[in-house]
Amino acid sequence: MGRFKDLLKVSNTKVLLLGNEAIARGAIEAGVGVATAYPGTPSSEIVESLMEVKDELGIYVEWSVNEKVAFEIAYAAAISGVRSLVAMKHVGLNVAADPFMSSAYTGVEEGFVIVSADDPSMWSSQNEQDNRIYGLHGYVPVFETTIVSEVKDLTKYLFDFSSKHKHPVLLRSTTRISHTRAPIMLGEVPRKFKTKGVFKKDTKYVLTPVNARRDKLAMLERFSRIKQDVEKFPFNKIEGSGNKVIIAPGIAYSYVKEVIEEYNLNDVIVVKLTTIYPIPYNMIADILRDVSAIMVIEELEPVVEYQVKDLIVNEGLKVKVYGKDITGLPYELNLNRVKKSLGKFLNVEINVGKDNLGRKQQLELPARPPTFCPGCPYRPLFYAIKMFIISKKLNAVTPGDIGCYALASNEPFKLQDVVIEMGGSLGVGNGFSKVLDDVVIAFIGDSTFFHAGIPPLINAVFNKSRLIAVILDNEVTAMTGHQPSPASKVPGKKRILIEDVAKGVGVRFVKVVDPFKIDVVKKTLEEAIEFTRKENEPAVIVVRRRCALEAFRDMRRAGIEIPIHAVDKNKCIACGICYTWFGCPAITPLPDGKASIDPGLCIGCGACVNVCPVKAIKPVKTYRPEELSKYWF
Amino acid sequence: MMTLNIVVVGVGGQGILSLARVIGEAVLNSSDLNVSIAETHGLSQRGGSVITHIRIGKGIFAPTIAEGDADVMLALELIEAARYSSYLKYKESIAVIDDRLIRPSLPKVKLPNRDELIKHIQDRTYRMFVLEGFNEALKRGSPLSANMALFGFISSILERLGIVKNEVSLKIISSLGRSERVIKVNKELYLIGYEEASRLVSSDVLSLLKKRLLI
Repeated sequence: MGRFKDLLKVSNTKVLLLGNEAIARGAIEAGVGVATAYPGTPSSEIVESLMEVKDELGIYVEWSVNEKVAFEIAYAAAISGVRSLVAMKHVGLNVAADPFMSSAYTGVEEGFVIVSADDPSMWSSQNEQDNRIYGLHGYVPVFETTIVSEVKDLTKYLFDFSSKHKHPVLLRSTTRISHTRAPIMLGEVPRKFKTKGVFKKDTKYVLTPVNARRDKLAMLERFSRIKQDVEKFPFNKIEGSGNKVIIAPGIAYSYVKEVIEEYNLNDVIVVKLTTIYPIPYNMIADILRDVSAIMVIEELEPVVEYQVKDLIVNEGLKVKVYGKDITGLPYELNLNRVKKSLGKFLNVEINVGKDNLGRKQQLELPARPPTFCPGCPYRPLFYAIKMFIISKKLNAVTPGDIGCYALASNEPFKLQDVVIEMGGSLGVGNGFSKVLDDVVIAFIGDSTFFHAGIPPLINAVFNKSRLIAVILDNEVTAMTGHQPSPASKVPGKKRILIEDVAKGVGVRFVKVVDPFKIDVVKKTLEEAIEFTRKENEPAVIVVRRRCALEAFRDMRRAGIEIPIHAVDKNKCIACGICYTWFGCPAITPLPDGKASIDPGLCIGCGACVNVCPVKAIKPVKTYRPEELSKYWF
Repeated sequence: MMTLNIVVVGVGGQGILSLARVIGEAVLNSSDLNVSIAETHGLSQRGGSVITHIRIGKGIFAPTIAEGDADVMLALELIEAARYSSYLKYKESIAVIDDRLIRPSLPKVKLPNRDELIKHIQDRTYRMFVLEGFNEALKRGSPLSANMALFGFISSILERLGIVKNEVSLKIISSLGRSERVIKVNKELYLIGYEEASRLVSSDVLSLLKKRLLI
């Protein structure tokens, strides 16, 4: 099974690629010179793949500090004549919305592809916003692949399209495109990549009112040319014949196509639609003139449906348009949902599988929410803080943030009271400190702190917010697959210490603690509470220990064998602290209430040793934990 | 248009994505059929409940399998096997399950009984097979190799259906880029699964699945 890198020398062969890898490959085949991103599921593997091959191709690829900066870097390349790509998850485009809007006003010199990977059904996100709407908002044309196996060629084509119109384009992906592996026919990798450009100075890039007013007109002109051009877009297609029409934008087409083929539904026209905004107006108007009914099947918001309804009013057509009234608004599409919708629209009997849906689940199954990994340094931290809050009967409110630590919202910790967006812990914490008398403890990770946590921390200093910022530094962006953050030790990059930033912006209480030292964490928190009460200003506690997945990977590579731990049954008093309050997946209760450690899950981190009140947890072989500390920090 | 639908389920971190990927690579490199694998990344990967959809056929469009439409379930954990049993085609599908129960790490969680879980799945399938992959992998000091027993089992079935070659599967295991020791255990586990399938999977099961690959 080859790596992405091994495929650079391969062409005219079908290989199994993840949708995101296919997007990366399309960018390579198009000669991308600069690619940037801030990681976020389901977008991360696009720039991860390009990162893997950047040295070999001689292109510039970076993990930027947030999506806005990533966008601006790729934009700078595109206005200097270098083809560029910026990738982000849907909510990342909110962060980059400011330059996004302006980029359409100024236009670009070379191909500029903005990839937004949306997450219908919210598999790994706080909302399922439909970023196709950004296209309407910003005069940026929007494209979606209709089948996963076409996304590579579409990406490649979009670079040329953007280049031709000197205008940014939005390639919108979704979880089911980005994270589906499909056979992709590889094309040629260019011999040379253009990575240096020329910036031709022009007042169109200076959006002062007088220039912006002129740019607006130029943008509208470019956009009307784009409207013409999508009329003959090679990835759009009209299939079948009949007097009913199904318009299927994006991945919805894949579901529709499958149902049509499975049930031999011949008497219907299907529009395979890749150009989401603007729609190919004349192409669709021509089809709709002589039909009896139309249905738009699309995922999430009625973006194409509204455009089709607008067209019908403009053209004075008398035909009914169905869409969201039948398919429903929330969540991603699936085959059963599309079967039901098509059955209704076409008036045909479609049985929805031999499913078990109607059959009662006689078994009650426990939920299995995601949890901290065994060895995760966040577990002992939240355990210590929970125990401290309980023992001091503290009234505390604990705004949280986006990252692995959001999992502390679950039992047994329940220490993420508000989680809404990147950096929100500190911003909301500022507000809580003004309106609540509770102790405010805000949690934010290292990558999220650098992404959007610094302005609210400065605000807390400037506006004197009585806030305790607990900054969890595991030295990496862990949740999305271990991309570096400014807190990481990466050869050739400058590491930035969070405590230096905090001191630099004027925080007077800054302490760094090791989360495995539960007593030290409790004591530091007590001091921070005292300080914030007395001084009425923020305190920062940096909690530092590397992500266990990374630390243990390095130990394994160094050939170090770490003994797993076991419970001494004679010593264990069945108090349940370890499996109820500490909550490591590897620790489970036996029928008599004593603890037991699952040898298939324990990784030997030893975090639980300090949790046991009778010291019943021990490594199965003796070893010197001190010797491993260099891997942990 | 027919497709063979396989769901791979378990707990995040058990090697579900790797298992799905090796199956996909084995089919793509042994036959002229297409493969599509819809994965789950990110949040749910952290010890949560995970389902991955594999579709095999000439033309594949939808990336996911509809509930009630899976022909095969490969499960690395019993509770998750029961949770996703609604994906199985009722009484016309098979389940291959590793005999492993992982307690969700929630305080005071009430665990279902192993035999109940097994019966629940048995009631919904045409045939169910229970493997000892985890125990065999743990004995060899590589618990994460349990997924290879399921790979061996399904490879044997797909080989008899004419769409996977055993030597292709073995080559894929060798290329998995881990240490020699782990590759050795992976191959041993693969063979355990492969031989179990050769012994236990009867021709009626094969003809049930074969129907799904006819165009």
